[in-house]
Amino acid sequence: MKLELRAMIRKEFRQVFRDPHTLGILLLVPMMLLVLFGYAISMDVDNIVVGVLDNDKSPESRRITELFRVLDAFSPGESLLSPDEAEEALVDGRLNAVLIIPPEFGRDMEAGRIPSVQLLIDGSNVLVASTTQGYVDAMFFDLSLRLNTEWRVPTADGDATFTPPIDFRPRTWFNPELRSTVFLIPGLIAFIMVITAVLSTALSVVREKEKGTMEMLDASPLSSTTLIIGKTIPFMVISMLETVFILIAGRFLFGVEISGSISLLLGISFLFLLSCLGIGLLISTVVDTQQSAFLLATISIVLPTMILSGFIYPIRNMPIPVQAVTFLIPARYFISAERALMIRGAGAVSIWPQSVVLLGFSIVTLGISSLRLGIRRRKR
Amino acid sequence: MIGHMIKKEFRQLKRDKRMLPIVFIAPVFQLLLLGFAANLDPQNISLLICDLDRSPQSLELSQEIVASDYFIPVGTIYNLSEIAQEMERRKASATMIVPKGFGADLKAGRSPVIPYLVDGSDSTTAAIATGYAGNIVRRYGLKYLNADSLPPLRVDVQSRIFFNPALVSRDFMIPGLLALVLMVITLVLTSLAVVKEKELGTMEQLIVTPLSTADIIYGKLIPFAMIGVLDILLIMAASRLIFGLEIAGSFLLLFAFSLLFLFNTLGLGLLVSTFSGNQQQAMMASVLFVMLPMIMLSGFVFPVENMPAAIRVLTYAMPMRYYLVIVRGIYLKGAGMSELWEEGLAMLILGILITVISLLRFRKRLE
Repeated sequence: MKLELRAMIRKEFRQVFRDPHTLGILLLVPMMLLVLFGYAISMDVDNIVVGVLDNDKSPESRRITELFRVLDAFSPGESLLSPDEAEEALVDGRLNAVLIIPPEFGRDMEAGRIPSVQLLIDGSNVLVASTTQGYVDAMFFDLSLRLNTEWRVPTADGDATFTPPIDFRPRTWFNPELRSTVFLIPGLIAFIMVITAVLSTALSVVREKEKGTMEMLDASPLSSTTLIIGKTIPFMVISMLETVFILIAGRFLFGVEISGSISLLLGISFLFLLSCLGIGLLISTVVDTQQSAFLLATISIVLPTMILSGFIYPIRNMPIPVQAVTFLIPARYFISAERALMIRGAGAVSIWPQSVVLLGFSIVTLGISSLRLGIRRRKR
Repeated sequence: MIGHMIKKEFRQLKRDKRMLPIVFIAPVFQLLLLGFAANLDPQNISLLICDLDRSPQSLELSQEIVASDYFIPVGTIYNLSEIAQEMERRKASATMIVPKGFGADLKAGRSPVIPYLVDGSDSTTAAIATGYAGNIVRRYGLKYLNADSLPPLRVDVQSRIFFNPALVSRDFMIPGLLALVLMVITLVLTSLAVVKEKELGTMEQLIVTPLSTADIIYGKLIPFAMIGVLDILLIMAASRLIFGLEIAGSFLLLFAFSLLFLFNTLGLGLLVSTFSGNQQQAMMASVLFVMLPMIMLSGFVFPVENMPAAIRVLTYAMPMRYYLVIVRGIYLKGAGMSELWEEGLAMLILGILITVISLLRFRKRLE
């Protein structure tokens, strides 16, 4: 038995090494992708471009235009001439928002009435739109306060008299600069790991079927469990190596330090990879051609992992039935464990539920794969 | 002649019983799941309130915060030392602390401090939610502004949001999903098509037939193009029926641009196929070198404007970058040809380039 397993593993390794292109891709490309994507992806909203349409041209309205110029959050927008021009700039995406100052703005302010301004926001990108709205609201709030202090009660030292009624002081834990990279890198690591692990095994069984070499394996005295284990181990070795490369790249290039224990991280990575390889093998035993294996793998892994795992979109925002589906995505557990270990420096206690679920996933997927192989062989 | 080739390909597709259901059911299923899931709107932020003051003012401020749509109160505690433990236990992602003497200070105009602690691991939500909390707190403070006896001066901001007034992220995501699903399906189908014949040794048989290279290629691609067109219509119908998302602009224009995009993705699949020795390589190459870069770098989730210049240059070579601008423009803003012709032209040029290169490589391989 042991001898058979060893022979099977040796055959699989030999097959991997015979195709050095694939091996090279599996080992190096994931790390390259992490580097490329890690620098590219960010959800920080900066460079908001706001245009101003000043219909008043009074000293007061000019002061507001000036305020927009000095705020860091905004890229200096242009001054617009007409409402048509404003709308056009929003449609073609040149501006994210347009502030319209009405003709009676200065007069209203002089007279002590509440002047109003209009803000037109391009809502097609929700993230940018809600951030813009928040910034502009806060800015006008400050402005309102200043109006009450400096403008109404002019003093020699200007800003010195300006105190808000409540001093709101946010303090952020774990990711003080609110860099989205810190949040995204663990998810990106999981995403790349899932894809390479599932892809590496998704074709393994179906290829033998398509080429007709499956009959030879069927005729051999190997049990289906041996077959499955033999197909898993070489890719496990490769995937673990690749994971170490990725973690090193994440640490040194993006400064995502692992504040928790490294051995815990490697341990849960192992369980995660095992469940991914299991999914790949399961796909491979279900379909008849490599083409449909590929299709099934991308459809069930690539998009769902990206969107349903909590990598980008918070799971708590999803409707309950969709939340239920997320429990079937292994990356969901891995990402939350990874964030706990990497960002919050959590210990073994807080990641054991995830570890248990991932172990369960591996057992179920690998188990069903070997059962399916067994059924297939008995039919012959 | 080419008719026979197409018929053969269709027969091959039909023989694979798992394939056709996946090709038609999966896109709608994906749209359904992902359309409901892709939601970045900051909402349901669990907030813990630590009230050390227990004055009418502290109570009022807590109520103001809770009344907004963004926060879900997970409880109020009255002791500073419990914060860390309670945040963990009640899974709060933020805590607002109302210090002792808050009410008295506020009335006396002494500008009391409101510390607000937030878990920054989810940076996007944290940033937006902190902004909202700040605005609520400051607005509340305005009531106690100590400026004579006059009513406080202020400037009203009336925001009007264009194109997606309720700011539903779903409306932004769905057009993107159309692009994504289309790209994935057509790329998967074509990238293995040619290499498969090579791997199984049936390519030789095709070559000795009187079919020309062009016949072989078109015969392979036309069935996939037809599947692609059906998928476009299916996804558009599903977005309309399930999510109620209507096309603000012209349907025909969108359809025409979608065909152009299809031309690009089919070409890319063919290109991958000509570079690969076996199906495993073709799969790796199309996922790692085409699919993932297009998903991550074309602006589907992460804005292209935020990327470093070197990477932004790379995105110009991705047809999906242009197609995303087009679908979102037509779906949400009702943009027309005058706004989108540059993107269309870029896709046309890329498509021709990709097809020519892959035809040349294909021919070379045959010889």
